[in-house]
Amino acid sequence: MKLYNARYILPALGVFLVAVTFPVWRGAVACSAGFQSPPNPKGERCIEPKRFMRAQHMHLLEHWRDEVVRENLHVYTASNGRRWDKSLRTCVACHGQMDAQGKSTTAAAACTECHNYVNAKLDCWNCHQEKAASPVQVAIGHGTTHPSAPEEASR
Amino acid sequence: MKISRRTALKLSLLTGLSLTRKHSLFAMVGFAKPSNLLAPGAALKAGRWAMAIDVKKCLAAKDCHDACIGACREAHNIPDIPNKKHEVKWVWREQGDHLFPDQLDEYRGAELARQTVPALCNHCASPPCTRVCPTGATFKRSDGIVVMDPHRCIGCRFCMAACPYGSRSFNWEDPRPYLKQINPDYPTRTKGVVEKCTFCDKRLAQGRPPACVAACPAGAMVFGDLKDEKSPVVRLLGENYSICRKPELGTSPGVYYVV
Repeated sequence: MKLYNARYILPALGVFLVAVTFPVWRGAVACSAGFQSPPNPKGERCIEPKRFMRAQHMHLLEHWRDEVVRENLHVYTASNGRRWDKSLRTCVACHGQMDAQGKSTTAAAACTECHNYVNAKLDCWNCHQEKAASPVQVAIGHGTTHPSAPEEASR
Repeated sequence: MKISRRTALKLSLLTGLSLTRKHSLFAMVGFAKPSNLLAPGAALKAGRWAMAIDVKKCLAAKDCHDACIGACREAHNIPDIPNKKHEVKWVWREQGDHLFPDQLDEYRGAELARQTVPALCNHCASPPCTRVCPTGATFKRSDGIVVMDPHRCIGCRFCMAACPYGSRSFNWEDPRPYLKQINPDYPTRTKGVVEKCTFCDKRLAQGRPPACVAACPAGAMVFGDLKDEKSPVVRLLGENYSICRKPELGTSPGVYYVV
């Protein structure tokens, strides 16, 4: 089999392949550049295992929103049986006080860092308050720790 | 294995008992741990929430400095916008003859007609605002409270046109610059959504009465369940003559004025 005009076709094919796969390798390059995930808040573990929260927090929050606003159901029972107020205040109680280096910042800053990275629009903080009210609230929002959550050990 | 009728009945009784909340098997093995909720008390529930404003008591309290309005503003982060066209109000003062244009005259309620009393969303039994909302952002809960879901509000303002009481406000601009102090436990709103009094649904869920009711030094605002004969609202309304705003429209307001 003879390929006519191979010197035109093959380079063009190469350019075409590169162009078509551009999103894939660009993503790979960007990932290898490394994303520094924001430091975890000190102290307590999250209401659900880390892997679940990473993948599903948006669905969880959406579910909470619908249940609180539309059905007047305010109590979330986590997989380990602990109960929480379905409110961004519960999140902010820890994530609003990111003091890994003794530096306090807002939950919005932590969210924005990641959301900008994945180019996901975030407008929760246009209305909701991103700062923890006071350290006291953290104390009320948390009780005993549960050793039965292996996911959290890696944190 | 064959189970006799008697054993089956015993077993089902035991199973039923183990599922009851107090002293249940779950509680014994520590499954239902005490909650970590921020809510101080059990949620208040009702068949239909309603309010009665005792006009005489309200007018007599000359030096309350609008405690109800102030408490509401503080609790719900309501901005203080100087431009009257952009004003946001949940509870506000309104003159009697504006509230009740057809019900007062120079002999009946003459004093009320000249003076101002609090006005707020009436949480109507048949609210016109919820019927016109194209997104279902505003709706009536089963306990009678007409609430707003700002997440769904697209700012079309149909509800404002439909409300005969002017109880709804539109956020023409970002309210945050107009807040001197932000209450961290309640969200602000954003530009482009409608807001209104919610009968403090969040406080009720925490077991607390509405902010205005709790703040009134004269006890002129009475809040309770219209479906409960023993509730203070039903008692007050049963013993006194009361009026509602624009009853002829058939909205059946849930805010009564005892005159």
